[in-house]
Amino acid sequence: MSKIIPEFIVKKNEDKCINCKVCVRQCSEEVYKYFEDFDLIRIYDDKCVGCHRCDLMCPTDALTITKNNSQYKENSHWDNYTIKSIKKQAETGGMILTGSGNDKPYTSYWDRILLDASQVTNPAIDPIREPMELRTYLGKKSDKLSIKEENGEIFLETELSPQLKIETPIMFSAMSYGSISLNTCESLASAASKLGTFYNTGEGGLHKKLYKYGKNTIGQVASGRFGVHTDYLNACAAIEIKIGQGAKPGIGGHLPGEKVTVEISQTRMMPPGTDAISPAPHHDIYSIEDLKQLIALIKEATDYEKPVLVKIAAVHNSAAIASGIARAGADVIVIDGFRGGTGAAPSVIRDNTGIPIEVALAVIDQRLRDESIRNDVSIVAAGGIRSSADAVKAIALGADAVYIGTAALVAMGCTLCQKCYKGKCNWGLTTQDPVLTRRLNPAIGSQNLVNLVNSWSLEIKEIIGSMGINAIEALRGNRYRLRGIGLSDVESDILGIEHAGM
Amino acid sequence: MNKLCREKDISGCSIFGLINTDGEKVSGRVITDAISVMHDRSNGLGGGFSGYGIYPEYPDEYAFHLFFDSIKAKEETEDLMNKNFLIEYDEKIRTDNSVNLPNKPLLWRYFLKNRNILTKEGEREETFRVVMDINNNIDGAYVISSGKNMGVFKGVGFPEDISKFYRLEEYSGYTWTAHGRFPTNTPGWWGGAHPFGLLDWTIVHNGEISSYDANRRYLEMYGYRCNLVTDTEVITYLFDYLVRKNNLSLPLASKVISSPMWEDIDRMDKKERELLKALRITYGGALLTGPFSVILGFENGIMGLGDRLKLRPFIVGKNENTVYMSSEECAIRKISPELDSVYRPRGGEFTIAMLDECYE
Amino acid sequence: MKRRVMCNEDFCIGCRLCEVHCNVKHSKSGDIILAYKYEEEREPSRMAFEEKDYVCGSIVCMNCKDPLCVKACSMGAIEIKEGTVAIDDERCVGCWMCVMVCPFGAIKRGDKKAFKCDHCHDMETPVCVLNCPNKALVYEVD
Repeated sequence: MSKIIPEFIVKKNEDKCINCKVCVRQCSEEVYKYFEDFDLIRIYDDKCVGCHRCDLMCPTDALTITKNNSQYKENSHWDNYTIKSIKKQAETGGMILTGSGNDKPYTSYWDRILLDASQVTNPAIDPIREPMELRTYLGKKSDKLSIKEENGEIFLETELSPQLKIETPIMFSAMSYGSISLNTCESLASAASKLGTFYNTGEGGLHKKLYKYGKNTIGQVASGRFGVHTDYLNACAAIEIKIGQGAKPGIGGHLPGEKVTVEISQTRMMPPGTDAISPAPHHDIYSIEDLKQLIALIKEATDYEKPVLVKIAAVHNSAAIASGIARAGADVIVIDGFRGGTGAAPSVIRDNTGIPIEVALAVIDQRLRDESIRNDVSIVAAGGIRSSADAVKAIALGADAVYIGTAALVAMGCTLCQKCYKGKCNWGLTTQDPVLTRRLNPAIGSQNLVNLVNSWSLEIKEIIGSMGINAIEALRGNRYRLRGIGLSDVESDILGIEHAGM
Repeated sequence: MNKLCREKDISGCSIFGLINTDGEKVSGRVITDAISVMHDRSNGLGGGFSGYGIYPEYPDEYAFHLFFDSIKAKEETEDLMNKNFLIEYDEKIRTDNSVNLPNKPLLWRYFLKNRNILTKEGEREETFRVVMDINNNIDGAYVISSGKNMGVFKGVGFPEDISKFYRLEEYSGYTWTAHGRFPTNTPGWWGGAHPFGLLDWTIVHNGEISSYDANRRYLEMYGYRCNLVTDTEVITYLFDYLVRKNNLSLPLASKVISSPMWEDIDRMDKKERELLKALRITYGGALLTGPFSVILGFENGIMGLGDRLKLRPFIVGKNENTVYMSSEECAIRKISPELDSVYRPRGGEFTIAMLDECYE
Repeated sequence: MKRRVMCNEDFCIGCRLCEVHCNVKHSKSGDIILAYKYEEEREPSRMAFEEKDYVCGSIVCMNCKDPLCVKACSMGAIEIKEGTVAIDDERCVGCWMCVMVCPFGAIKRGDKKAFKCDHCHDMETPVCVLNCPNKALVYEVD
């Protein structure tokens, strides 16, 4: 007998239920079972993960999923989550797994930062009437251009380093084929190409079907090196070396064998049905000089035509690490904060390791400026960006662009039930089950993503217009347009912003 | 006034500039007459002038104008100068003390010669470093201008009072710029007035830079310290950085500071597009947004530049060998009722007038 | 003119909401709860739902160019009206020949009369297509 109290209660309103059995057919967790002999739908609350597929599909709104109020006795130290975890571990003897990002009530600095606007002395700019530029180039910038003038003609002598052009400073972050379905990958890829931005393959390689989106693809090279080969490197527009992930700094990846279908095995170049294990470190990178060699190697393999990104999880020493990465020759540094999502991570790691992206971003940007190497790299902030306001704050703190992962999944249907690791995603996102993967029609998924990013871009234009800014580069690192609210002196100092009223 | 004024300076303004392209000198009275027409664009909390060609007796020395809050600051500054420079001559700046102005600092000018034998560029870099050093590290000392054969005269008051105070009618120069200020939040501090000068750059500026902190933090990577917390300071440093340190021509520097829109760049022919794209990508931190029109004074000319959306007034007039730039046409007409041509530059368009030649 | 509801089985998620909404559309009240819970007579759905392993899909009348059902009907009860194959209830005698010849199984046996999808002729788009949550059903009019 399990001693774990169900988290949710599923209520069916019999006055409304028409017995159409959509709930029975839709729930992959088998919460509903139909007994033909009794013409009865039986409900098993303990199996419910709270994903809301059933109540959203129910044509008569007859279902409600509520929190189970019957819980262990309230205790602010031994909260229910803790007690349940202990019981689960006592029953199974394993680590508690979880999916998506850290949901614990740590301070969200985004919510403690307010934006400035123009009044009187400086006209606000209306994005509907005036040009408002969000275009961004990611990559190493020269410090100086060499320009020659001869007979009245001007020649540019400097050759620019390879750049990634994005029409809006929002990209889709790394999610591998394996952790998400091919339909989900295709939705991201086609949305990125329609939006003029990029999506990221994660460590899943590039499925044949997705090569046509190569121009808008950032290919990841991670510690398992799955799916990495010459065609892959050359098909992608840029290569990202993944050192760490915000949700699980210092932890590798594990795709269980049952998820490794034939298609995935071919894409990842590994036998079907075997576990895909990405080690915690790259076993050819035990220090910064090794990273430099891998960067050089990738550049050599791609004819120095593609920018190389290096992604790290935000940890205490990020600033120094980022400086090292810039000096190791990376073109872009990606910092993934502790709110970043994951397909699967031990919850003890996800909930306790790493630092907020706001803090990491602020110190990294400042450190690179202090060392006069900020122009050598672009910075992409990732990990828990929820809205256009978060994106604006990130850019004003010093980022060139942001990655969104969780927000993109939510746009495609995800309801943050955090059960990605089970492979039974009812929304067809984090699953390989053919019954479930067909639930995401890429035409719809891609359109939802395009709509989301377009509406955020519109909001960003509106926000910077209100600040009297009409080009995104004038917002980048412009911390004067931010003010803290309820921040201590230390926090304000670290973020490099004044308190509201100053 | 404290060294680190934390609150950013915001002001509306009038600006005026003139250059005689043949190099004939005119008295400071002329520009005073012009700027005083735009009296209502300032509120008595700041006015100033810069003149080029005003020290023919010391053409090769760096002319430093300084504000001191105390004798101690003056002594410290002179110690610092002595390390790198030979003080050829120094004196208290002549003033007319019948003009009643608040908080007058001690005003002093020096003519300095570099002790070391350096290239022209090295000499300027050395001078730049000393200016930064004084402004950052000596409490109560501010270098107001530091170029050759030029000087900045500014303070708290209406421009016409400032002119009378500094006895500007006694100076004559081939280029003059002037500024009347309407600050909204700055206490009457002399250092906050315009023009702002560094080496032979001077800037008079009407506007408010919404990209301020992005520009400041960009410049601070390259050794600039923006302690005066004014937009004008940042604009001056940007020109210095782009033109002196990166060898960009003034037209290209203005294409960085008031960059064309991407949609316009996309439409250009390949060569021009690649050049402007490279400029914008490389020097993105130097893009200014927000309303402004500025007149940049330099060794042998003046340049007018407006923001990309033309949010502040700016007009150029030409009469025979003199080019005028002003916030309002009335100021030009006051000193030159007849003009050969009048031109209103579009947003982001630069206008340069130089000695011997003139192009728009 | 030809009207057709096509099912893309790659994206049919087997929820069978098309059937539910088809039923409601052809009910007396037109209201989902009334139709299911209070109306006594309710026709079976006009959709044919097929399912094998993970592949599923619903099929309705394809409005064939040269419909076998029209040829097979000895009463001349089936004809093409405004691009839709329609059964005239007055003439149908329930011989089920049409049901037998339809290659898609799209004609169903009712109480003494055959019936089939009418492509919701009073609407711009049929309800099954409108309510398909994954846009697996696509309505085509050539």
